[in-house]
Amino acid sequence: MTATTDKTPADAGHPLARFPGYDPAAPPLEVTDLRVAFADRPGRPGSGSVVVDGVSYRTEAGRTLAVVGESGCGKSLTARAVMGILPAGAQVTGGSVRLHGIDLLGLDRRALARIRGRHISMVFQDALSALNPVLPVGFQIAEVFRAHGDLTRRQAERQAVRMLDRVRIPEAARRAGHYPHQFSGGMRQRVMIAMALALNPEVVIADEPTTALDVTVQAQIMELLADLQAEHSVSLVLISHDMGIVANAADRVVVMYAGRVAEQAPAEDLYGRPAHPYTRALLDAIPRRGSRGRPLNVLQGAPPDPADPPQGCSFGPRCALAGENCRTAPPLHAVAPHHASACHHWKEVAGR
Amino acid sequence: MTSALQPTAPAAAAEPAAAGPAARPGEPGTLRRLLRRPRFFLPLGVVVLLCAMAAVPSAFAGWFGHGDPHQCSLEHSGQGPAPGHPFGFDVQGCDLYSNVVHGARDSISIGLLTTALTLVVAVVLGSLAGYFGGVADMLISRLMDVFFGFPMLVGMIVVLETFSVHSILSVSLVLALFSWPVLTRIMRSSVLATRGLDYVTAARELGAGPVRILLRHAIPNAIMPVAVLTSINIGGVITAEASLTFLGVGLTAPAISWGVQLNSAQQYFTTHPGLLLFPALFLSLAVLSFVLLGDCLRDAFDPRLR
Amino acid sequence: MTDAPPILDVRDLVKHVPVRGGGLLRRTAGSLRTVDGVSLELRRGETLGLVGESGCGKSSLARLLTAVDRPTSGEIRLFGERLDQLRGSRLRAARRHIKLVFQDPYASLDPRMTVEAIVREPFVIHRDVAPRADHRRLVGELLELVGLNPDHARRYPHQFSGGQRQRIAIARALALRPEILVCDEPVSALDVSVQAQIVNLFSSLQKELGIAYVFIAHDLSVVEHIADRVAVMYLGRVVEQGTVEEVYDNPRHPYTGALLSAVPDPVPDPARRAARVGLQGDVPSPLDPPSGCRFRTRCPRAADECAAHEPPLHAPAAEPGHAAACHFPLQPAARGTAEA
Repeated sequence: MTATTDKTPADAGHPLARFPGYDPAAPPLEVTDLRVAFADRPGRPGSGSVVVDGVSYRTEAGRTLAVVGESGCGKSLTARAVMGILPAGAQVTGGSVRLHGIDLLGLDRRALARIRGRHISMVFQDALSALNPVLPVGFQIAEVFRAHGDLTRRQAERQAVRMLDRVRIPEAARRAGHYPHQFSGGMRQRVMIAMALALNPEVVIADEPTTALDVTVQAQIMELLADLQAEHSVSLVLISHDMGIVANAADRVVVMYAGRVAEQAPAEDLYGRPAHPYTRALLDAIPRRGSRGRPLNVLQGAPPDPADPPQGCSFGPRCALAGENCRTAPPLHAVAPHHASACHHWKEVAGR
Repeated sequence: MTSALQPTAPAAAAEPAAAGPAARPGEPGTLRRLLRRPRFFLPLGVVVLLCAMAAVPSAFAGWFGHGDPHQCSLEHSGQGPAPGHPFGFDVQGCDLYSNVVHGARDSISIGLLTTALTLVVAVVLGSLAGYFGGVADMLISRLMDVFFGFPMLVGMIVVLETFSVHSILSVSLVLALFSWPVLTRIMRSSVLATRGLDYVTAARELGAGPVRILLRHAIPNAIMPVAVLTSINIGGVITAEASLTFLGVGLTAPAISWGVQLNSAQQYFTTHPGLLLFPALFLSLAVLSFVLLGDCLRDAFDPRLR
Repeated sequence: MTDAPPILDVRDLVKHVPVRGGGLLRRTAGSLRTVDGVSLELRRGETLGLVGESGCGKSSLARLLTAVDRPTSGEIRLFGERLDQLRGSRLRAARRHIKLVFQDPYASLDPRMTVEAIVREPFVIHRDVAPRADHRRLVGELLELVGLNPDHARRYPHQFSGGQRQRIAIARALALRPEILVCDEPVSALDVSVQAQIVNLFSSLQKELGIAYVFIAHDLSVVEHIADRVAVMYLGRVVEQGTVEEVYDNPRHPYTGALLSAVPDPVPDPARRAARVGLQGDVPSPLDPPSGCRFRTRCPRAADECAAHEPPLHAPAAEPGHAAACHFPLQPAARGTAEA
């Protein structure tokens, strides 16, 4: 809608073409063997606990890839590493992040700044703290246009109103002058989405976009994301801990545990034939119809401490199937086409 | 590390914390752990040394020479360092080193006394205003506003003028009278913030009365910002005493304090910089040490940072 | 349910919180009607689920039920005694029967107290419950009851994970052997697998100790799992009430229908994804609720009558326990999704 971005991938005039390695045929986002470590003491970043340990995934245009896992599993840190906004002390220690073939980790700060926001953007969980409380939302969205284009202030503000309209905020022109606190939680999240989608990025990462919202509003936001995605064939990375939301939104799911990919599959496969005991445990822990009166199947214990990871399979200490061979870290086994599980006993799990 | 992971989700923080190295049995030996840190033991050493100097100045003053601050002879007036007189002499020909050592007593006494008084007032009034709100808060807050609106220095000069004796006690009382509102206001807002927290509600819900809640939950959790400022305050008070003395309304000679010394040095410091330098050095060292110590203690007594 | 009298009986409970305007004069700008005429009953050993979106007043209600706040009007009878009118030592004694479990286990435990001091505090406040010499043993028993190692009693809350902290909070709530626990979103701050552990803990405690729960949650599937009866709240009011089966299988209020349809099922189904129609808009401000039926501004069935008259909570003769406050209740066949 900005009409400045030509989306034909083969076009040499594509704004990404000036970056080294650009390949229109490559996946919109490809993360390969990404590693992130924290500092074990201040001043020596990356020297301590490994919190993301060899994560790989790739996205497709117009599709949603969901990354699920519990808090501390590294799903958000992976996304932050992709965006180049890791918290202080954390550092990428290996692997690559490619946007249409362009190695983002190899780019300098200025080049990255030109890509971020324009070609890859992020929707945060807490819209209230992600928005500047002392500026009107219209102004903040207009800033996005002004930072990346040659629009005049007035043009940018007009575009901002159009964006608010696109995320279905009623009376967009009037609301553009309002401040973040004058919006409800759901409306603020819409503003965040408007900012993230303003420049028609190829990839949008949504980090727990609906966690702070009520169910009915949550449904609205997920619907909005799906519609906008379909309109612009955005590649969406949805980070969530909610298996229900993921089931309804994702084409493909990556399950993370203790910094590693436990299982990766098309959504229907993953929910229908989980091949990793952790995935199965996550699904079993959800109360659903018919579970009344029976105790829920629970996973005992807690995830390992990243500072002191267990030897071999990180899920081993909590796993009912763990045996001798789990002392060695399992590789990703191909369970079916496009379905991989990092479990030595995947056959037993899947066959159950 | 999990909090860094999802900074916006307090609730989602730290499930693996339990397995972490933090899960050690109870925490004795806080002091021993602290003593291993230079950030702690250096300022602590200086503070202890200064306090010892204040308590028994004669034990320190005599290290190099006679150590009597009142044994002066005009023939040495303004002379530089000499054997037995490492800091040299002041204009009266008194040994500067023993004067500076003896000056610690009044300066540090006033600093500690004033701060203790201020702290008591701040904790009591701040807690009452913050916890109970309503009329108590209104009265205390307006009173603070009156003091904030008042030109402090003028106030102190006026009050001190009415005292016939300018002793440590009277100077401390006057300094406390004008410095309590700052700490009280901080205590008030800190208690106000703590009061709304779930664990205070939980105590109320258990049936705890206001006294127990204040003493057991609200004050211990709210006092930290005040405690840190308090240590800074000690430094500030020592400086304020010096200022008052400089203006001639604080302690007066023959009392010996760093303020008195700085006061008398003002006319001569171009010719005798040592007169200004040495007391000022001790003053700065004292202020800095108290501030650093306070900082360190705050970290030490916060169980979350252990 | 049985005919035994309810142990907790709430009638027309109202809580208005005055909202002060800015400026020097601090004039009252209006009042926030957080709870606006709620009636509930709770029987011994049962679980009443309370669901609704943020701002519907469920947390305010929890604070009223546990006498943290005082109601503006209405009555709360705890074992026949007017909890809302008690003062002093009689109020303190009554507090033993009903205890609150908070949502955020990171905020509800004093960070400067050891676990032992936290769990012991109820005994210190209610001195006549147990002699001082028994405190340590009782704390150990309580920790064991909630599945924690009593040897960890000397640790501080920050050394525990979210789930373990919630267990500590539950141990503290159980110390005085209350008959009722009011749980305000006790699992919504926890991860799925931990959430299941705590839900199971609640169930087993109920079996063991016969405690009745008022279980507040925005997660409908958790409530469905644990509750016997459910009350659905919207803007300070109960809009529907009944057994779990009645409310979940056959919602009568359009809001309940919409709420149920908005819950994502953990089963991927591309066809349904496209077809789902959610509720539009946000919850109106409780400062200025709509006239008549409060849900009418978002309701697909709203008619003129809804603006004019507030529908009473009404149960049909066929289902005497299943009441809904709606002029045009949903029919058994039509669940919320078919509306709009």
